[in-house]
Amino acid sequence: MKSRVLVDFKATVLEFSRSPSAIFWTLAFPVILMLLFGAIYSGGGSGNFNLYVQDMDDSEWSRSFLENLTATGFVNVNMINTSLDAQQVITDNSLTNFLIIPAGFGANLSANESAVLEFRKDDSSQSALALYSIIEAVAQQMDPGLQNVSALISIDEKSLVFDDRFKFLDFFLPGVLALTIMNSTVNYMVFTIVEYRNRGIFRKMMTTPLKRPEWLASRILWQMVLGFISLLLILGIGVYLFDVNVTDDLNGVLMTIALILAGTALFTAMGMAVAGLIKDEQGAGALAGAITFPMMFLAGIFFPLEMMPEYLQTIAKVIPLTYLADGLRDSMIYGNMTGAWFNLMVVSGLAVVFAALGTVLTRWKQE
Amino acid sequence: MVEAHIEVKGLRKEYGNLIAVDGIDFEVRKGQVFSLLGPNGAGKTTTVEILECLRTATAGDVTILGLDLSQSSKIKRRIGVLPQGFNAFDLLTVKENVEYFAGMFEEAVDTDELLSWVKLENRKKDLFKNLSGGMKQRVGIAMSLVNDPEIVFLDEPTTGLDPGARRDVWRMVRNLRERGKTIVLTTHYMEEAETLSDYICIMNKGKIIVRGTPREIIKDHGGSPVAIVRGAGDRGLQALSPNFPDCELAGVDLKIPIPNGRRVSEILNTLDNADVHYDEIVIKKSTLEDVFLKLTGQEFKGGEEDEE
Ligand SMILES: Nc1ncnc2c1ncn2[C@@H]1O[C@H](COP(=O)(O)OP(=O)(O)OP(=O)(O)O)[C@@H](O)[C@H]1O
Ligand SMILES: [Mg+2]
Repeated sequence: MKSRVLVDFKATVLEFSRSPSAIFWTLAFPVILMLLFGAIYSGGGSGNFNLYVQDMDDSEWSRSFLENLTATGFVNVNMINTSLDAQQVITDNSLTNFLIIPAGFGANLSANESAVLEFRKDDSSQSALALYSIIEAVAQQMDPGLQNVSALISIDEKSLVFDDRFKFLDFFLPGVLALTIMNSTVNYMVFTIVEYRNRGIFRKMMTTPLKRPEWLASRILWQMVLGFISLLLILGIGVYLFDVNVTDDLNGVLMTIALILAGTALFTAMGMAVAGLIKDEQGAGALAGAITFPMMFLAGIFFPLEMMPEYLQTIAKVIPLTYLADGLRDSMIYGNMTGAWFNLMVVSGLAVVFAALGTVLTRWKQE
Repeated sequence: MVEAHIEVKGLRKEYGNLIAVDGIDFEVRKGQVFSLLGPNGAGKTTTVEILECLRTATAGDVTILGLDLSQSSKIKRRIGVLPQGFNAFDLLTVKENVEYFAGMFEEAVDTDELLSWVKLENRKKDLFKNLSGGMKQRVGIAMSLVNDPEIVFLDEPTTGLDPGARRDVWRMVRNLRERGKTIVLTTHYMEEAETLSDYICIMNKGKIIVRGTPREIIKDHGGSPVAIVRGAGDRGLQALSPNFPDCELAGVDLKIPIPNGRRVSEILNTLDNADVHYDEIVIKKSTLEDVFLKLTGQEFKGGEEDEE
């Protein structure tokens, strides 16, 4: 039997392959996002390293030490207020390095006594390791003891231990996937439906035995395929370039797949509802943007929800994207199956609600 | 008598308060080219789209190929449709577009043959969006034939086409008729309806106001032929008005309706005797267009506007 779904699917793929803007938004956009944020947060690469410093000493010596670090041309010194708790600052800002110059450091050196710098670093961060060697080199150079054979300065090196804390990129990667699924699917559905309707393509389709559920099945199928292509791209970049820790536990993988499927269904239905609500192309595009754009920022994709003010957190709770992003984080990174199940249920439930809405709002048959 | 392919009785369609189709009856026989004529908004598209199972009627009985409209999926397999203002997938090629629609039917004709028939064999690989209007329309006609339909609906197939492209479409319609297809055509062009149709219904404001073969309609509703004497001016009017009281002056041209039984030579002789100088004489037979203007009682723009 010749399947109409497959015939439509083939046309969908051909259309996609010839539409540079569709390719950009679904494939290039997440890649760019990952590379950009990966570069920012892994801190590696060329240019300067950001060093976070708490100068408890604030002596002539400590100031010239920091000047010399800056003078190497590799280090940006970021001063942290001495009244803050170091560990708290590190946790809150996901820092991978932290240098503490203890009080009395300069005085000890002047008195020809030994002095200890405290450096906390994330051992998995290339930039933190690089900073360590730079600090070591500068300290040696300035060590007054070296002229008298034995060094006075030593570095007390502490590894930052992340028990339940994850790198920013761990947090970010599933968010990018969720974001891509939303953007690509909502926009695809809105623009396709509005275009097909306004150009009379649906009318022409209606003259054939093709049924609306068949059409929809083919389009959703394609969006799901795109969802998995995005997954592979994002994973490829995240894991190989930036060392994101993705769980390879089978349950997690299955849950991730289920979430991608449910998320695609949800946003397909949402796109249908938008296209059904607004008839003209510009209006529909504007509404799609008005829906996806705030979701992008309010769903905790770029920063954790806990960092947002209370009222924004409340808004985030009613945003569908939040649940997809949270669910994917649970399944891909945290291995939190209970959380993932909950989010999967929410996403699936919303998908059903929006599907009903979308079906009512987009009729092929004009009255 | 040839079997009826389409039977319509008391068809009505209301959009809210607007009555788009106001209780019409007609019949289309197998193998006929049947035309619906009418000004913008007459209800042509509404009528044919109800027959194509794209819209639902408010009231009335319709039978297509012996089937009730509720059997739409059976009907769709046996009819072909070129919708008004037709469009296809911009980013698919001509061939891909036609194959898409062929793929929607369980049985379909050979798409290459079809494309040769509409003379697009050299444009198969071109994207639809890069085609000219005439070519797009031919793609549409090819698409409407993928399932080898018994009835073909063409809603304004030539609107917006140049005269050459329009004649290409006419050739195709004639060819389809020769192959025994039943064709339902809607058009604004009188000339088109006149040369192609076996039977015409003129619609206005949702009603069929005149019906018949083109000849019958012209005979029954067309006026007498008119002689136009260009450049005859006031002198011509003075010479002719005693014998032809209906004669009137438009600028420097004279328009003289020729009543039954009178001869054109009479006009010529009168003008010669009065020694009136003129540029040329044209005899205009009544056309469907005249009938149309007379019956619909409006300034008809001849379908020059491309709506949709
Ligand atoms: N979906 C609709 N909703 C409301 N009114 C409609 C709808 N479709 C058509 N109409 C109205 O019904 C009337 C008949 O329209 P229809 O399209 O059938 O005319 P038409 O004869 O095909 O005109 P044209 O020559 O311009 O194509 C018009 O007044 C039109 O505005
Ligand atoms: Mg019309």
